[in-house]
Amino acid sequence: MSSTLSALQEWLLSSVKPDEFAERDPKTAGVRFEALVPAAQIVAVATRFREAGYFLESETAVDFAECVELVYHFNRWDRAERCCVKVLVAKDGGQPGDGTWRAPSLWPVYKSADWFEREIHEFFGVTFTGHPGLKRLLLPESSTIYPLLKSFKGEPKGSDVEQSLKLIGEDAAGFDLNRKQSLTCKDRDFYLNLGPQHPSTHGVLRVLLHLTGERVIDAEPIIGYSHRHQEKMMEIQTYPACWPNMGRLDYVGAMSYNMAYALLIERAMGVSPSPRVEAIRVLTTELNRISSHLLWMGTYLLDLGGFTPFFYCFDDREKVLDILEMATGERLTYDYFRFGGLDKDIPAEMLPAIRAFLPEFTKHLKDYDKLVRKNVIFRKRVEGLGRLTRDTALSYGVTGPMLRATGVAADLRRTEPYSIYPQLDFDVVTAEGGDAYARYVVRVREMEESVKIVRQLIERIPDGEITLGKLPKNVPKGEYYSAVESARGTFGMYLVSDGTLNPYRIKLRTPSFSNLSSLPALLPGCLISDVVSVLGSTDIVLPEIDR
Amino acid sequence: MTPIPPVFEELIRIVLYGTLAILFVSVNALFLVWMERRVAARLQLRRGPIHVGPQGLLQTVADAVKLLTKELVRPYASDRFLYALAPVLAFAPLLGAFIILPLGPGAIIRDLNIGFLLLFSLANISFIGIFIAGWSSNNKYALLGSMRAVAQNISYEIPLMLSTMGVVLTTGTLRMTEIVAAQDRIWFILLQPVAFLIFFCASLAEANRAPFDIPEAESELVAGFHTEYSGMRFALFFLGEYTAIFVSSAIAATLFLGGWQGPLLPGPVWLLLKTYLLVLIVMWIRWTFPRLRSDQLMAFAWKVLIPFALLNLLGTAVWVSMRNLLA
Amino acid sequence: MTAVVRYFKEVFEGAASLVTGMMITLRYARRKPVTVLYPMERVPMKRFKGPISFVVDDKSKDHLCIACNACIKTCPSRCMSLKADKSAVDGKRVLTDFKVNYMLCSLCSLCIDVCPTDALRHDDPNYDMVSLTQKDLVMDLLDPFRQRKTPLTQIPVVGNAPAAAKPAAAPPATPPAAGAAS
Repeated sequence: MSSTLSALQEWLLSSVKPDEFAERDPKTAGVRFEALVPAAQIVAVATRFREAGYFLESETAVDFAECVELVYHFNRWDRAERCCVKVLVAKDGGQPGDGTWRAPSLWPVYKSADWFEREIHEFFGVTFTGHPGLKRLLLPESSTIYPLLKSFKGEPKGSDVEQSLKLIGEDAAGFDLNRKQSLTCKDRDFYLNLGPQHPSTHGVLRVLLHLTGERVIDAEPIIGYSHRHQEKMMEIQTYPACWPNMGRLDYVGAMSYNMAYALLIERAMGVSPSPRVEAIRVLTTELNRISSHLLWMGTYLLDLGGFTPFFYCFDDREKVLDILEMATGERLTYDYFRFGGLDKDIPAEMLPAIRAFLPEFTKHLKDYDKLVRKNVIFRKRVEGLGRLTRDTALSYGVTGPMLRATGVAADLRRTEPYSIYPQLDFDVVTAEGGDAYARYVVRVREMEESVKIVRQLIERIPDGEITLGKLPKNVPKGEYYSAVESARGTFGMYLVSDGTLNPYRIKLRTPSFSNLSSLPALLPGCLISDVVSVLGSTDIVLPEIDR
Repeated sequence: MTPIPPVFEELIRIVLYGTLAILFVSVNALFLVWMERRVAARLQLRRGPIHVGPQGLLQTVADAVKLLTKELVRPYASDRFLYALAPVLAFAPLLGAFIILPLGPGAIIRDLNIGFLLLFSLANISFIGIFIAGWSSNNKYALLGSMRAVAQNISYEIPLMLSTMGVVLTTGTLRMTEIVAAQDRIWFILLQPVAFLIFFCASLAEANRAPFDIPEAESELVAGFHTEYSGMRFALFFLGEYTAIFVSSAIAATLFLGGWQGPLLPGPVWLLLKTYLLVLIVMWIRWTFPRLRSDQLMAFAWKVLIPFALLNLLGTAVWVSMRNLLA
Repeated sequence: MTAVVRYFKEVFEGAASLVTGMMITLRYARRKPVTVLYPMERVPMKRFKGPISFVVDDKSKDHLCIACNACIKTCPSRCMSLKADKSAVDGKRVLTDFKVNYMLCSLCSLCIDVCPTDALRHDDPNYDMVSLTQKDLVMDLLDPFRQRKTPLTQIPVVGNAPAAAKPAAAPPATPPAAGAAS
């Protein structure tokens, strides 16, 4: 334990006097300690954490009979020191959403709390005092349900006609709202809804832009258009039945999400897969990271108006997908890992295919460097654009390539090593500047590092069983947190298990969610062309944000 | 047989040449769209249209028929008259360019002494059409696109004119036939390479071609000024764009590549060959580069093209006066 | 003066980078197209998750399903259904109906994993399955066996079957006392 953390812990125990305090084994629970603090103290605790260099990794809630428990996870960039702080919000006979369930907002300390708390507000009905605008985040504005409360038993049924009329009403209300905004704003300003139907929002995202001429004054991302409530879905499923959900969160880099779920349950059950399984998992995950970054690169250049590199990237990506298909039988929504093993072993022709692909791909990467990175138009379009400072990144909980582009070597594969990453030789790629150009450089070089990892692995995949046989169907009672470095950043899964066949609560801490929430800090001052460029450089996948 | 009164003769000429020009422009646009798709496919490891007709040549004809039969959708809040007028206004002036284009020795509709000055003034009308399209659509993206179009047009007009002035200074005429005739020994691309590059870049921008296609930048403005257009009205913009490429390439070929001059083959064939070569390069450029941003586009015109064009003009003027002094 | 030099350097370097880019696309243009002219050309698929179907046993040429409901219980999409009846001959459970709604299936292979008799598999690579009606996509897995009149489909059944094991829908968890989970 580092001195910062022990000092923090000492301060917590002596001045805050938590109601409960317990140290945990980070190997299984994923956190260093858990502390239950009084609600009035949480802002002070968070301020202390922020001063010590921690960011708010995730904020969520769990519903119990008499109270709603708010769970805050703080973590560091440079080393894995995840700490869990909890606050109880008593129900006291109040109703969800009526304002009686109250907790102080962390918004003044961490900007990332904005979206986290809006989400808790709409799913649990907890009101946060001091929050700048507790409106619906993922659900439609008119919904009155609080789906993650255990008392929620499905939405009241109405006829399809009623339902569609209700939705039409909402649309009209939204239109009026925007028209009013347009009318009240100053002469030269106007509002533009970039999306939800727009070629460059990478899915159904809407960015409400406040413009003067073409210049952005203010921007607000509006999400929730592809919300499926994966967390609720997983709550009502058995543990193995959650596997398909993991492929459909971030469908571009689904292997990392498979990895996170496998780690979560395996740590909870106290089992570990054979070395062969570990090697194949890392191999497929890294190949998937390459394909994910290739897709990003292609679409990003498409955003900038360059058509042809898009096709080159997709050609290479197809080859990676062909290789992954040999193992998984799927091309996109991978559902390949199992608890303690894999769905199927890799076929014999897969390794030769990878060996044939790698040299060709490295050659292509050099061409793309000349075609794209050195191109004067590309450089002019991305250099100095959407500059993210470290402080903003800390405040918004930005992770992944976006964070590494600010020069911070934060990569969970190194800081909180899992699987066989400690045995592999690769560098954590960083770049200076924090602008769109730095993000481009980081992602391209990460592909090179992934190639390096794949090269090492194909030479030494050990023999072994690809399954551990029959495992228990339930997970021991307790709380677990697992995190992996996905292609977009830190993906975390928080599980509360009550020992039954279903998870009691699963929170998915998705990287794009926090990365996108930093958009209002990046966009002001940009032109409309830059909005598309900055948005592309954040590499978001909407279904992962909306879950 | 009494001679036809000159008024009727002129009318017949107008109708005849007009019909021929429209016919040529339509067929040419169909061919260029096919060519563009094949070139793009070639560069992008694809095949492009290959199924309809020999080598997919009839694919664009099928697309044109589809566009002709589509419903003309008009946004409720648009300006009805201007909305219908804009596509015509954007397309029709480009036909005027064929008046001054010399196809061969003596094969020119009107050999005007103001030559391509007429051409530039006509080309500007089509930008008014584009602006009206964006304005009358009552769509924010379309409005942004049309405002970009106007800013771009005004900026790129200047380097376009300045670069041709080099040629004018050397030949001392604005008459197209005389400019072509002056190139019988050496093409002006060799005497005026900088002017050619500037003319080429500026004409790309004038024709709204990538990397200068910001008025319709589909990844930013959905479809820019023609977002709300469908069916044949959209097709007219499309036709206009390809005609603009053809016209600007043909003018470049006339001014810098010797026009119709060439051995063995007849004049019009040489002109077409040179034009299509330039069009090919235009397409190659489009499918290679990302798009510029609107402010960078302006910076490129004012900070790079115009200074270089002025330097070139100065150099040419010095050279011409030296030549005149020595002669 | 340096500013002027820098200006010219920038312009010429920029122009050079553009020419380099064009040369690369020209080089790539010489490569063969990578697209496949589907449906005239088809890519062979080795491991492709086709729709769920029954394994045909080598010896008996029959299906292997014992109607144990394990697949139904594990299916995350709830896209499978089976019916079983009591055999009139020996009183054992006999499969009488097995349907998979392909529209709901998420092709996760979990049913194949849990099957105790390995009776299920992904169908052969069949990546151009289309249908004009939704009904066609609800697949009757027993149908081919019925048509071939395999022995297992010919067993006479009596009306009331032994109740199949209820799906293990866990009762809603009683919330533990506050903070008990920590």
